[in-house]
Amino acid sequence: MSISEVTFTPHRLRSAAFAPIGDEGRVQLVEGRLVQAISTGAFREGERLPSESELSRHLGVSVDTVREALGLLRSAGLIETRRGRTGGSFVSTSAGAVEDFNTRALLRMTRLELSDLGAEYEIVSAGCAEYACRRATSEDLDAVERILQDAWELPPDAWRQRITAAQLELAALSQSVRLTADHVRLQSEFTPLLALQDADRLQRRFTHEQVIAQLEATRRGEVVVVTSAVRTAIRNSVRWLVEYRSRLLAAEDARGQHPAHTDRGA
Amino acid sequence: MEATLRHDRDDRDARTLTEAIEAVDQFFAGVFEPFEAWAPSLSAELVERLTSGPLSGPQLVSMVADRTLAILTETERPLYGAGFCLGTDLISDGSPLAWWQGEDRTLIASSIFGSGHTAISLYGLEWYRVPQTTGRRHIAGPFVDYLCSNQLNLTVSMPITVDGRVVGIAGADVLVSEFERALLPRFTGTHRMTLVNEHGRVVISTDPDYETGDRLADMGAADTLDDLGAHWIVRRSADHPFAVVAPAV
Repeated sequence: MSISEVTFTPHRLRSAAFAPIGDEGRVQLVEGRLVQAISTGAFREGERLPSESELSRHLGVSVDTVREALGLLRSAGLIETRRGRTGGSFVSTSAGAVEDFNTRALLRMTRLELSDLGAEYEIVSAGCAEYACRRATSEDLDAVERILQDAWELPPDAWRQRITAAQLELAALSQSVRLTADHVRLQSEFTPLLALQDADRLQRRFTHEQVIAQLEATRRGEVVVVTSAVRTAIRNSVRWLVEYRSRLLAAEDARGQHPAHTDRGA
Repeated sequence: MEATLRHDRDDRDARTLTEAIEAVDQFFAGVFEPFEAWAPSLSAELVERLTSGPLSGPQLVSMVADRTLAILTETERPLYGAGFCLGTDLISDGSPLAWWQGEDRTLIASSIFGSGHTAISLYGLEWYRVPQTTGRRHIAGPFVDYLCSNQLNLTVSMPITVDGRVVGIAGADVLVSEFERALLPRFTGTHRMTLVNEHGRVVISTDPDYETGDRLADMGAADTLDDLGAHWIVRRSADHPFAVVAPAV
């Protein structure tokens, strides 16, 4: 495979999803991990998940547990199962299945939970970015630039993978194991929500330009510019999500539906 | 008088720095040694196996497993992991990476690396890219290995060639924390000694002004140690991409 054909899957999000689970709360935990892998875009639409036996090995749970969890995902419309030699579990290709799932997750959150997640992500990202700005070499940054090259031309889901990969790589250039681990954890939680913006081309453009600005300022060693680019981008996304959430809730109320956020007795 | 004293001290520091870089070289020579010994037979076996076309991931794993696990068991160096990575154009399906890590010598999950359109970009990984493009062995890092170990790593890597063409990379991981335990006690005899890689990134240091991962001040935008200047006494390794430095008095 030539370099130009290589895509940039957020592999770290996959390995976070497949870290061993142990024995407790198995089905729900397996379900949660698989949801995480799909909703963060670590697996894209139509992509095949690892086999039941492979998942059972990675996650350290029985095949029965994996099978039960996959059943829950199937009911939620997140995966499709195909039979036969080329069969297996595939990320749902029905239009918007993953987006619908992520939207419901957004609506289940309170506004407070959303903004608090945003605050933590903002601070950890800015902290990683500051350290990376002090510590990255130009060779390191060339590698990030390659991830972003031609990314804008890609379809939104592939573009989002590149952005996620570039942000993670920039975080790792902090040279801090702890900060990078925090970044991965928060990215796993926040990326499914961030991806809800991706149908909005202006919003995507804004995110893209902020990442480029972060990269360029990192090259120049301008800590203040770097952290401000990161923080502005994340605040902008949180603000967009708050408004999006309000619009959806208002629309549901207008239709007289039971809004998803009342599930928790709000 | 004072100038002479300062000169003597610089001389003594220079000797100490030389001893430190020799200890580092000795450490890495020991890491490379089993891979140097393996390279000719690995290359010959690849020639034979690849005549009938690309290998699958599982075929690659079974081909290199015994030797890699033997290296991990027999080495006197604190290796965290080791393995072999075949060029992606020579893999039919599955992962090009046959690599084992951790106390339990776990094979890195092939699904994490994927295949086809989700294949990992090996070119983005310094330990693969540098020996692949230069044809020479390399030590990458320190870098945060967020794909596998979740630790700060040094990855030692050696190109495996067939008819002068690099077909894959063999290598080993050393955690910086283990490396620090092994080498920092050898950094004695003068204050403020720092081991940096060729980009001026700190590996280990006795200097309170520098932490692992930092870059030396005065590097500016430069990516090499060539222009480090007169503020530093520098002893570069002839064999490995490292130098021991100390501030000139």
